[in-house]
Amino acid sequence: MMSGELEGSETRSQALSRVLLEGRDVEKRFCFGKRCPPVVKGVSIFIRSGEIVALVGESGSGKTTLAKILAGLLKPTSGEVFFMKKPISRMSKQELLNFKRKVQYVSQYPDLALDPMWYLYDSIAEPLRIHGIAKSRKEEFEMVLSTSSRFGLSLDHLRRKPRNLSGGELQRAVLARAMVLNPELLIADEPTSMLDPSTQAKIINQLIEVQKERGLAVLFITHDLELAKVVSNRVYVMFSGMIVESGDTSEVFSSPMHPYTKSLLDSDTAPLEVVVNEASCPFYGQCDISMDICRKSPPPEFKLRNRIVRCWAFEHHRD
Amino acid sequence: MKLNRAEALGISLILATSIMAVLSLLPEKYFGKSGTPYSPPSPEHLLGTDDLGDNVLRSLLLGGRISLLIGILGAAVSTLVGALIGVLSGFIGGALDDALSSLIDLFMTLPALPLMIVLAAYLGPSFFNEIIVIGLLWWPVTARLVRARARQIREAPFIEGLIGLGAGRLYIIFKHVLPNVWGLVFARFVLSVPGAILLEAGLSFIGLGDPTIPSWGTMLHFAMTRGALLRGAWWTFVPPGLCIAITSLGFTLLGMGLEQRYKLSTKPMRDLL
Repeated sequence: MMSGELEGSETRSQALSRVLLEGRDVEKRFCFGKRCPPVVKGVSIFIRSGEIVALVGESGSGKTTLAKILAGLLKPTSGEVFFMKKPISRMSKQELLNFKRKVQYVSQYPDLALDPMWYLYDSIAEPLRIHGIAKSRKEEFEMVLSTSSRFGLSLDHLRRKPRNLSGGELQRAVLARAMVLNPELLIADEPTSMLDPSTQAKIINQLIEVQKERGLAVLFITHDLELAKVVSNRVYVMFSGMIVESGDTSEVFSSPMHPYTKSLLDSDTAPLEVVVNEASCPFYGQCDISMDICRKSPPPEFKLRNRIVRCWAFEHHRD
Repeated sequence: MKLNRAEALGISLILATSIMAVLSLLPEKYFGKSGTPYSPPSPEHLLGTDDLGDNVLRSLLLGGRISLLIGILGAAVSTLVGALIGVLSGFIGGALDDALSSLIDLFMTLPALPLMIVLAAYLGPSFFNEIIVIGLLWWPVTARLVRARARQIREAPFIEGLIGLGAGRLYIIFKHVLPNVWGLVFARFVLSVPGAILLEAGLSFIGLGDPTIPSWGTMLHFAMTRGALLRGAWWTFVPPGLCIAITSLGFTLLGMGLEQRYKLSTKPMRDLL
């Protein structure tokens, strides 16, 4: 059932194929005292309208930081984020408000993403109120109710406060809150990591149904490779703050190129440990095809047809 | 909402004092005429008379009205100042936070009573001056508690989400930060009332209260300066002293209960943050 849906959205994304959000050479450093190590190292990423893009990587690889930069919640140390070809750092107040309406970010902690003192209905209606979208109480009520019911929330749920809701219900509420504005892009940061597998599957299915219906673009951030494989059209693999490989999901998963991606796909049993190394390539310490140059200079992006790999081993294969 | 024993006792003590304040509105004729000075309690004068032959019970009821009013208004002003400074300092942060925190620390180290005596003597004894002096000196504890809570809320993911939605800073403060500190502010208000009542009594006792509107502190002041203490006319000074103690106890018990409730109600969030 799911593959059929995906084909539908794939053809549409190719038909539209308009770049909605793009991050160019994004770098972010966090300072602890005098040291300012980079968390995101020169990442370039784009999302076209209507497609589902997965960003996979283990914890600590900088996924969440990158997601927050793309959502405009953090300022990058260098680099720029473009929304519909316009840099968000140079947007006017009006344009920025429009950006914040069209791009919604869902945090990985549903239990902390809602004001504990507010009733669920008000929390879900709040985005409409901030942007002054609903013209009357009645219209607001209808919009909130129709979006909430898409995610399986009843009127009874809407009358409660967050502490009287389960984890799954909170996650649905957070998604409904993001979707009530009818955004063009949803950045979902590990939206289901706190849930049990069956609830997870239900919520993902509901999200994909809504995605199909509204032609929404989704950036799906996850450490769950199976999930990424099933839901996404394209995938970005992140390791230690770098996008090491990207391309169409089916191609990346069937023929991974970067040694890290390979080890990720093989390592069902033994998870990798990040080895601290001084070499320029962050994967140098664990790599079995490492060369001399890997230690000296960081690997640039090598384009191979519609895929991108950051590994010196592919220097001679590029187009 | 189920009350525990301490809260129920607190509320009944506060109710008892409030009834006293209401009874003070009764016409004078119910309290009998002035009698011989220093006559002990009798059926005619239930609590005896003072140095001027005035009915002590009537002075006690009238004084309760003033003490309660100054206590509540003083606590309200101090809580308002404390909450405002706490929220601004904790939520906005940065240089403003540094400046306001230093101010809080400065006011915390000031010895309140001596400063209050100086201020009251300088501003002159009047009803509003007493409220202002109490309000200006009793806020630092509230400010510090509210600041800590506001900082916690600022770091909560739901605030980040609101910024992501395009909500303004003032909107967030009024719609999200204030409702989340409201329980704490209310508990602090109730806990500030006994402090304000005691400070007012202290000021009046040393003669810095407004003599035109005698409070319980003023009664103690006159018992001291006009010789009732020396004569052993206990009915003139024991009742106001007891009333001050009982009222303060009532507000303290209720305030502690409210604070505990607030802590419990925010527990899940505090654990996660």
